[in-house]
Amino acid sequence: MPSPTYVALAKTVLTGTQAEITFSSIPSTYTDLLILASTRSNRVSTVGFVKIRFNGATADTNLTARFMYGGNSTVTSSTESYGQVGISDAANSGANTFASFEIYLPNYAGSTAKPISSTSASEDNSTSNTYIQATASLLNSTTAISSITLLLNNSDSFVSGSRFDLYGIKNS
Amino acid sequence: MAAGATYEPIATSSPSGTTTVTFNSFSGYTDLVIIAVAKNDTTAGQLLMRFNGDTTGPYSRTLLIGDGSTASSSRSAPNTIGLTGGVSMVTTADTFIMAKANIFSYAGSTNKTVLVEHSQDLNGSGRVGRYVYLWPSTSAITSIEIYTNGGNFSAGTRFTLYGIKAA
Repeated sequence: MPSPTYVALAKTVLTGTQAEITFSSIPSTYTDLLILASTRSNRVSTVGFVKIRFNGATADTNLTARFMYGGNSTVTSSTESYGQVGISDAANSGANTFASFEIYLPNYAGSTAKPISSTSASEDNSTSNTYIQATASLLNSTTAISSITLLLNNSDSFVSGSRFDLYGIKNS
Repeated sequence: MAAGATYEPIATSSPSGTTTVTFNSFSGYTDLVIIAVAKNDTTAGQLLMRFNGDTTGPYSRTLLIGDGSTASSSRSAPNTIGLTGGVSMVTTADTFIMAKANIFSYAGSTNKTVLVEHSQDLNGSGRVGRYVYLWPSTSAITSIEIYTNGGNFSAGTRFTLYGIKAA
């Protein structure tokens, strides 16, 4: 029986407030990684930005991002000096709603800089708190990725019910 | 009943010093996905794709682009599919762009839709894009050509074709 292409490597569902989540000891035996997440934060706003760090880094070193962002009836684009990968629902979002996003990381175990592609959305059935975002990020490092940390950009925390799933993808 | 695999790698190509990769052996799937991680060597060119050798198209497209300061949308009907949405890749060492293309109902008898996710942050420039293309052909796709119109693909470039089966 052939080995599966998509392999579920880890799953985290928060049962309380938590500032960041980390997937560690990621095996190097896959070609690409995929993260699917559903998040909400305690930020006093309708939305917050989620960012990514690698290999235990405690700062946004070697990370950049450019994103486009549609909110309600406007669209814009911006550049950031951190690894922005998504938007999260927040404390002022509609009750019981969580933003959804996916992050694709090709060649995570390779020895080149790492492009990162992500798409996220926050829709809470309101007339003013709806957002969709696509982001191109870059980890400008040739070091293989062995751990991934997701956190919020404003030192806020993810709340209970937020979910983070990591998959490994093989190309043969 | 043992379930069959839903998402299968069909082929991977890692070109270096060449301009074109062709996938022409795939059948039995519902949809296709291509993952591209690519760069040029000395001369920057776009990352392009076409089906069944059709060099005229037109491949009708709508683009949604963010360049880091402005977001825009446009429509046109070029003679090829732009996986980088009309801009060139990079020649910078160790820096690659990524594109993901979902090709729906490739073997069916309706026109073919392709959704493209393009990520190209170059640490000071670049873009993020989401593109939709329509190949107005009712022929089944039997050949996928991925190519660049400037220079050659550089070492480290990878194209993987996956097949997805519906139940």
